[in-house]
Amino acid sequence: MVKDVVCTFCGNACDDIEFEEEYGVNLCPLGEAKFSKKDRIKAPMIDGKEVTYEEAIEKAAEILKEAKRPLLYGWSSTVNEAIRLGVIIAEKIGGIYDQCSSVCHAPTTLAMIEQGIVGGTLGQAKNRADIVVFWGCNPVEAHPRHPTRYSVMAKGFLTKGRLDRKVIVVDVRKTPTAYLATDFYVVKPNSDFAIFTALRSAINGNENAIPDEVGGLKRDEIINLAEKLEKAKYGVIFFGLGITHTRGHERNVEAVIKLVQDLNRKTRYILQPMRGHFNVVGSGEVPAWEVGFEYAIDFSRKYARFSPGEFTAVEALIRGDCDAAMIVASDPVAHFPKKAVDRLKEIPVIQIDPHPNLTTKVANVVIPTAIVGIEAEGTIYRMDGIPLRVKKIRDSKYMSDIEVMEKLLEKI
Amino acid sequence: MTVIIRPKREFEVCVEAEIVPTNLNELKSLKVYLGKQEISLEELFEIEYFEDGEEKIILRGDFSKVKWIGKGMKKGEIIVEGNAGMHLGAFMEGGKIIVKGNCDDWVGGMMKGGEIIIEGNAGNRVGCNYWGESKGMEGGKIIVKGNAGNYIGEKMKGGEIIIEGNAGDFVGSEMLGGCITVFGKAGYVGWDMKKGEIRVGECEILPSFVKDGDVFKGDLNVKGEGIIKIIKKLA
Amino acid sequence: MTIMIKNGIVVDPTQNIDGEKMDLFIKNGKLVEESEAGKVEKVIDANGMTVVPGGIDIHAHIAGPKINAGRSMRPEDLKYVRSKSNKTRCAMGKVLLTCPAIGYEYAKMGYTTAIEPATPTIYSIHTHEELDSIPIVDKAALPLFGNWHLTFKFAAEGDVEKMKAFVAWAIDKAKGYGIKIVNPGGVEAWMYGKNVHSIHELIPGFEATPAEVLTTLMKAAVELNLPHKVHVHCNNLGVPGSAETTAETIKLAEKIGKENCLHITHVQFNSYTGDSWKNIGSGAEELSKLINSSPVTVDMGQVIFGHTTTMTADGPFEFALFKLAKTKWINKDVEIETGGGIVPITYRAKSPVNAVQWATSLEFGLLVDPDKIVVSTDYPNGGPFVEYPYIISLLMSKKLRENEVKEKNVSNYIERATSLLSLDIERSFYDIVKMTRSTPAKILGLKNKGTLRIGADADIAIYPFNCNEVRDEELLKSLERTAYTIKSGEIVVKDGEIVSDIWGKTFWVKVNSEREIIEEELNDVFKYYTVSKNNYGVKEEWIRKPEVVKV
Repeated sequence: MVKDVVCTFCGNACDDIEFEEEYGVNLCPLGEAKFSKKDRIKAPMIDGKEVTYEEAIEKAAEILKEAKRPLLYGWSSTVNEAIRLGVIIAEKIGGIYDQCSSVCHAPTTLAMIEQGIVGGTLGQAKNRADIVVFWGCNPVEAHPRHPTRYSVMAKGFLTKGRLDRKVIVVDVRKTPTAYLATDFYVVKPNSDFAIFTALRSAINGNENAIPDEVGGLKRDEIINLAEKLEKAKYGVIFFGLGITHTRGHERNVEAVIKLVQDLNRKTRYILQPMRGHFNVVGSGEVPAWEVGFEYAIDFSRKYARFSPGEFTAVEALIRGDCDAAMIVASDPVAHFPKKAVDRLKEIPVIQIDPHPNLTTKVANVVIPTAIVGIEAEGTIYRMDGIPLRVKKIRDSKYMSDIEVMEKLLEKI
Repeated sequence: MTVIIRPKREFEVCVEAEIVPTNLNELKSLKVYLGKQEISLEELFEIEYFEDGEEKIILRGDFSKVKWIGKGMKKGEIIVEGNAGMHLGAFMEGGKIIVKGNCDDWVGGMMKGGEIIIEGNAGNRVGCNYWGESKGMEGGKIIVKGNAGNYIGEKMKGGEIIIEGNAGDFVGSEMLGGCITVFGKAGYVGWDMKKGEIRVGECEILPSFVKDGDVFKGDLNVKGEGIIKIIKKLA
Repeated sequence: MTIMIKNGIVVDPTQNIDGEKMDLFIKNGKLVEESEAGKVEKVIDANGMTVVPGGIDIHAHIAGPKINAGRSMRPEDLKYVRSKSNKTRCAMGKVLLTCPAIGYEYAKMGYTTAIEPATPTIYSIHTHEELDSIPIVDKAALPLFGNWHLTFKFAAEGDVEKMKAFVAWAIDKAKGYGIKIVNPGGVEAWMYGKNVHSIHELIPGFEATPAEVLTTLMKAAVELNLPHKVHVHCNNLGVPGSAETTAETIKLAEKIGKENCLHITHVQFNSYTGDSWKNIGSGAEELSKLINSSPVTVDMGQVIFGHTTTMTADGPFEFALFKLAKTKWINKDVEIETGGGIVPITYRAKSPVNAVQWATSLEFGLLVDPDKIVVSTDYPNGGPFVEYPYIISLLMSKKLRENEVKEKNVSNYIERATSLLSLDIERSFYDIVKMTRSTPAKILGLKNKGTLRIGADADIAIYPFNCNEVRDEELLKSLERTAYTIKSGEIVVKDGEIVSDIWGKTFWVKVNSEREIIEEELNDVFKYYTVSKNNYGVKEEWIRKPEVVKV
C-alpha cells in the first residue's frame, strides 16, 4: 500500500490518499476520475504518423527555433521541475511563456499587483476561522473535499468544528455549497463589484452612500452583512471564478482585497482564491523566481517582459502575434475562443500531454508523457502555495514531462 | 521633412517599432523587432521622404500589427492613415499623433505630454498606468472620436482624456487628478478616486459616492475628493 | 583546474595577513600549498590587486515564498534588466532580483555565500527550489521557530530536552542550517489582530513569554552545538523605543553566557529610542557598548535611500507599515507555525525617520567590534545587497559620509538624534574584510569560508585596486565589480562579467538527538495541520547539491 499520496486533480491537493493496487482510498469523485484509466496517446507522432521520442523532440525543437515568436502555453497540470525547464526554453528561444491562469485566475494576479493580498494557508480556515465566506465559488462541486478537510467541518485547535463556524455563501444561484451555509445571499449576476464597494462603505462608516438596493441586496441586508463580517474573530473569504470571470474581473478581486484590508482594521481576515488545477500556483511561482513574472512573459528581446492582454495566449493568438505553439498539459482548443483556435489551426503546434484531447487534433507534433502524480513525481503547489511532492505510484513506458523538457532544452 | 513609411509585406507576428519623428538616417536604421528577429526599419518598411520644412511621419498601409508607434515621442507629428497597434504614444512627452482608423490597447499609457487624436475607436487601457506603477497618465491630451474599451485613465494624475463615443467599464479608477470626459455611456466610474474630475453622459454611480448638488463626490472609502458630473450627450 | 594567483595583495584576518604581497594556489576547489599544487594550469596575475576570501551574506531574503510573492506583486521593479540572455540567463530586477540575477550579482561583487534567513518549515520545499535556482553562490536556509506552537509549548514547560528534539526534527524537515526567530509570540498574537510589546508578556493562548522562547531555544542550540546558534529578529521591531527591547534581549544572551549564542539580525531596525515618530533617535551608541561586552553578534540592516520592498515573517509589523505607507500589502498567516507580510517602501533622505535609520546602521558599523558585526541591508528590507560596496565606502571614509549627507540632502535631524556626524572612525579595509568575510563565517560556523587558510574552500574575490593605497573617490568603483571571482576553484567572474555559470552547494545541519521523546506531541500537533506529517518537509535527494554539516 502507498500512503500519503497527493491527489493531482484540483487545487486542494489532498495529500492523504492511500493506494492499494489500483484502488484509491479517500479520493473524491473528481480525484477518482483522475486516477481511473483513461485514453492515452499511444506514441509520439509527427503529422499523425507514429515516430520515436527522439524524432518528435527533434522536430519540436526545429519548430520552436524557426518561429519568430513561439508560444509556450499550459503548465498548470505538470510539476515545477518541468515548468522551470519550460521557462528556460522559452527564454532561450525568445518565445512567450504563458500558463492556464491567463484564462482562469489571472485577475487575482493582476489585483495582487495593484493591492497585494491578505492571505493565509488553508490551516487558518481549519484552526482559527469562526466565519467562512464562499463568494462566487462552489467547493462542493469544484473542490469536493475542501469543506471537510479545510473549511466548513474541519476540526481545528481554536475552531473545533462546524458548530463553531458561521458559513456565509454569496452566489447568483443556490449552488450545492449554499446548502452548507448558515447564511446564503443570492445576488444579481455581475454585481459583485458594487456589493463589495457597498460593504466597504458600510464598514468605513459611509452608509449614506449606499442606495436602497445594490446587486439584489437591500441596503439593510448590506449593512447587516457588513456587521456580521466584522463580528468574526478570524474570518476567511474564499472566492472563485464567479467573481474573476464576471463583469469587473480583476477589479472584483481588487475590491474584495480592499474589503479584506478594511476588515483587518477591525478584526482579522484573510482571502483565498479557489485555484483550479493542482499546480496552477506553481506555474506562476516558478517563472516569477526564474524571470520575474507569473505569466504573459515574452522573451523576444533576450529578457523578460510582462504584458497581460498582449503576451497572454488568447490575445497573442488572436492578434496573430505568435507563429508556433507548444501546448503542455492543457487543451486550449477546447477552451479558447474561436478566433484563437483558428490561429492555432494555422500555425505549427506541438502538444505534450498524457491524454489525447481536442488540441491533439490540430497538433503537428504530439509527445505523450507519463501522468504526473501517478507515473511521475515532482513538486507542486497547493492553492495556498503550500508545496507538496507528488509521487510516482506506477511505472509507465512514457517519458516524464521533465525528461522531455530536458531533451528539448539540449536540442535548443 | 515629411517621411512616408509603408510596410513591405504582411507580418508573421507583430512588429515592435518605436517610430518617432527624427532624422532620416536614424529612422532608417531604427532597430525594430519582428518577434525575436532584430532588424532595421528600412528592411521591413518602404521609406519615402520629401523636404517641406515639416517634422512629420505618415504611416500608410496596415499598421494594426505595429506596436509602440510614437513611444516617448517629444516633438513633431505622426499621422497613421489606417489602424494602429498596441501602445501607441506610450510615455509620450510632446508632439502630436493622429490615427485615422482604430487603435489597439494602451493608447498613451503613462503619457506625460503632447496630444493623441484617434478618429476611430480605441481599445482598452487608454492613458493607464503600466502594471504595478503608481501613476497613470500625468499630462497631455487624448481624444477618441469613436468608442473606447475598458479601463480608461486608471491612476491618472494629470492631463485630459476625451471619449466622444462610449467607454467600457471602469473609467478613472483610483484617479489622482486630471480630467476625463466620456460624452456617451460608461460603466463604473471613479472607483477609489482621490482627486480629479470625470464628466460622463451616462454611467453607474458606485455606492461609495454621494450626491452633492449636481455632482457626485467620492470615493468615500478612500476619503477621496473626486467629482463625477453627468453631462449632456453629444448630438 | 589548478590555479595560481600571483603577486596579489592579500588580506585575511583569520591569519593576521593585512595587505601582504603573496601567491595562492588552488586545486580541486580548495586552497593548497604550492608544493601540493602540481602543474599550474592557469596563472592569474594579481599584481596591484587585492585578494580576499569570497564575501558572505549572513542575512538576505533571497529565496522562498516571501520574496517570490514580492516579485509577483512588483512587476514595476522586475522590469529592470540587469543582463540579457546569452551564454548566461537573463537577470531581472532592480531591488527584487530573480534567482539568476541574485547569483550573478553576488559573484560580480565578490560574494560567494548567502544565507536565506527565514523559511517557514512547511514552505521549505519551495525555499530549496529557489535556492537551487540561484547560480554560483553557496547557500543555506534558516527555518522559522519563533511562533511554532510546539516552541511555545516546550518553552512554557521549560523543557530543553524536548526543545532540542523539536529543533533537530524541524531543521531536518527544512534541511535548514539553524534557528531563526522572528518577533517571538508576536506573530501568534497577530492571529488575534494583536502584537506582543515586551519580552516578558504572555503570548496569547500560551503560558510562555518571548523571553522564555528565546532562552529555551538558546539553551537548545548551545546544547546541540549547532554551528550557528539563534538568529533573532527581536520583538518590537521598527518602532520608537525598540532599543530597550533589544537591550533586554541581549541580557538574556548574557545569562546563557556562551559566545555567539545569539545573533541579533538587522540590529538597526531594532535600535530606536524615543516614544513616538516625532522624537525617534538612535540607540546605537548605548547598544554598541552592550554588544561589545556581551556574547551576541549583530548585522547592520543598513537602510539605502530609494525604493525597496520590505518583507518579514513579522506579520503585525507589516500591517503597521501598511497603515503608515498606504500602499500594497501582502500578508500570509502560515498554519500554526509562522506568518509574514510584504509592503513596498521608499526611504527618503529628507525624512527625519528614514535619515535616523540610515545613520543608526552606520553608527553600528563604526562602533561595534568588527569581530561582532556583519555588513547587511537585511535584503531587501533596507535595500538591495548590490549596495554593499556603497555601505563599505561610507564605513571607510568620513569624507564620503559627509559628502553623502550633503549630496543627498539628508535630514539634519540626524545631528540631534544620532552620533553619526561626530564619529571620526574610519574602518580599515582589514576591518571590512572581517565584517564581510571572517566574522560572518565565524558566526555561521562555516569553518572553510571567510578565510584563505590552506584547506579552505577556494572562494576568492580579487578586486582591481591596491588596498594599501585606498583613495576615497575610487573606493566604490573598486569594490562594485571584481577583476576575478573564484568559486569552488572555478573562475566565475572576469573583469566584472560572468564567465562561468556553475551551481553552488546548499548547506544543512544534521543534528543527532532523541526524536522519540516528542513523537506524541508531533502527532498531536499534526491534527491541526492541513498536510500529513509524512509529506511535511524536504528530502535531501530533492536538493541539487546538498552539503551536510554534522554535529
